[in-house]
Amino acid sequence: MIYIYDGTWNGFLTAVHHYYYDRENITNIESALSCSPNLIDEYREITADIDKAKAVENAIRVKISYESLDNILRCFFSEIAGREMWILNYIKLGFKIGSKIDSMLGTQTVLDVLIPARKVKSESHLMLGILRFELLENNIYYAPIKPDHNIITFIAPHFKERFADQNWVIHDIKRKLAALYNKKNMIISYMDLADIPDRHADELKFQSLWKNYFKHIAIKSRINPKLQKQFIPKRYWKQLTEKN
Amino acid sequence: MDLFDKLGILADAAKYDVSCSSSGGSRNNKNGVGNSHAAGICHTWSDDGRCVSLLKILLSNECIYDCVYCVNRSSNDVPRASFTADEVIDLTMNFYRRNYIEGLFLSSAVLKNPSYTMELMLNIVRRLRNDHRFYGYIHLKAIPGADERLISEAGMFVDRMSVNIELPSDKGLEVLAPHKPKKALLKPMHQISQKIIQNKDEQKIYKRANFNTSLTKRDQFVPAGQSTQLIVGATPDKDLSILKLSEALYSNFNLKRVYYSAYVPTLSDPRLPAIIKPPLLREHRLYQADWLLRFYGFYADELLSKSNPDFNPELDPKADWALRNLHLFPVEINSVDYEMLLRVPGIGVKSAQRIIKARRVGKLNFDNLKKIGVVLKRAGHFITCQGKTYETYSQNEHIVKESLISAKLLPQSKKSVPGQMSLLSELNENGISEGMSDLYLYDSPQNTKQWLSYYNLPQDGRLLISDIHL
Ligand code: SF4
Repeated sequence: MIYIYDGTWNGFLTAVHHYYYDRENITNIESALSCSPNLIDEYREITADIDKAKAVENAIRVKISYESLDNILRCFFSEIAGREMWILNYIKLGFKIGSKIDSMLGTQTVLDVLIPARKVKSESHLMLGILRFELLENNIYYAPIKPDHNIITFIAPHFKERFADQNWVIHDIKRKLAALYNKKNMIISYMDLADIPDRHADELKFQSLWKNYFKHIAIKSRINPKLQKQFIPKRYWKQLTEKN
Repeated sequence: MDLFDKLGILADAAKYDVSCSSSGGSRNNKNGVGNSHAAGICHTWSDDGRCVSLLKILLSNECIYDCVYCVNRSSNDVPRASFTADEVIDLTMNFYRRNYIEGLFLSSAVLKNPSYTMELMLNIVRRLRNDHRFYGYIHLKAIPGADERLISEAGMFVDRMSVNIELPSDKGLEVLAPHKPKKALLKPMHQISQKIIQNKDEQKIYKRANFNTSLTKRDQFVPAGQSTQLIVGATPDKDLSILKLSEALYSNFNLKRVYYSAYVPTLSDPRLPAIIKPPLLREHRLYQADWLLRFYGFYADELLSKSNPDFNPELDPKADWALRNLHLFPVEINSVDYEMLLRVPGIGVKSAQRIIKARRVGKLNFDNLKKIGVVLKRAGHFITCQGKTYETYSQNEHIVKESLISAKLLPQSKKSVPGQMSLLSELNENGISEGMSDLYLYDSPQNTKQWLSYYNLPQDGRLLISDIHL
């Protein structure tokens, strides 16, 4: 039996709930967004149910730990293929042994969840630095990003705190997902930001000042593109003002 | 001269100062813009591979002094420029709001006289904090010889303050920087460290007296501490004396960081050594050793001695130490204490912590260690696991040495490269295949969960930007 859920966190947790209560033998949990059914396997569609999802979230928190829930959450949003079963196996182990699982850093079942979670953490941290805002003519700062993982929920609160007095949008172009902040509230949602207003009249001036600064700070006798690439993989360069 | 050219000149003049860290700040945003991230954030990496975190500029490079090693010395024929306060503020605010930087690192050559320069700098940081409600990171270079009162006042607005010693010995200073005897440099450092301690004591008393901590926070003096920089290779000083100086600075002046900068020959002068290439490997070794002082519990005297005053170019300081102390090994991974664990080559702070955590719930074997991130190629010579030794274990010093050298990625190779950030690659000496940013594995922003419900909004509830009244 393969469970198909709607691709959301709540949908996934609902599937976990069904696994425990319906006692079905399942071989996989797949997101409807990426699943291509075949004729051999048996499928069951899971409808997201907030109450069931909350119950599972709670059980993880109480029976395992906060830390585990956090890791599971990050692992889920890594969007790495196969993560659903890794998480399920992790939860199964966690329900058996409790918070001890957080210390089992040399165990494969645990690492299956921890490693994607670490990837999400590290990309989130990188993004705090390399995200670039452009000022638009209506005084909104706009930042397009294309992260490997679905990290917008993890990074947006940082910008909300830091740029509390400016209007901004962080736009995950790949996922058509955006965080909007209006100096008071922030919302994150799937949305199509098709018509981005033009740049503010001053924008290009500051971009060119920044590029000029960037050019000047490198010490010529120490130029080291390898080292540079080690810190920031090339695929991220496109979003850097100074690299364009 | 327009702002574009000025920025070029004054960034050029500032770039040899290697410090760019924005760590240790704890400022919160109070109805303005900006805050500090405790772990620091890199915003880009320059073409020489250094992390760029702060807008690092000089206020002016029009120096009245003539320090031989410095590009800005008065006798050097370079283009000169000075920013106005408005220009510095404008650049800082606009760069910050676009998320290019964590804040400002403002330094200056000595314009007219030290107090005059310090006064200008003080004015800039005061206006940034008070008029522009800027709570981002500020690192200010104190100008030696400036009025103490100005330095004290500036300290109330900045996160970090530093005075560069530059040359590790008095003798070097005399010849190369006749206007800056070490005493004159140590004086403001001493003053800053005293002020930090005094301010902390006052805060404690204040906190005890009433519980209003938000008030006291605002009045912190240099909350992220002070740092300094030593130039390596411009004088004949040995690694031992440089490291001893750092050790003294850490313990006596409570310095947060000492930076090492391989001397980059920008000018030729008969009083300077004729170096063709900056001594990058030496700089790298010093960073490694500095790291060992600060996080691994080593003392300078353990790493180097009078008879052995310079670092081994072939081996990193920790491996070198372990090899000289083979009689202390092997240690049993499942019982050895944390301090000793840190001293095992191939085990870094992160894997040591993971080992401590993991062994609480069960005995570890070599396979577990590998998964934890220990480099067994190196560590295997120094440990046992449940009494067993690793396959390549040997007690023969030569065999161990050869194996360490071949297992060690020399700084020229891909993995660890000298430079300011080499101290970060040092964490990676274990070969953990994680990206650099992973080294900053601190918790990401809190309160994410409350936003997650948005992910469950139906897709047809899409908003268009024109629909949102921001
Ligand atoms: S005082 Fe500072 S800027 Fe001036 S020459 Fe000496 S080191 Fe350079």
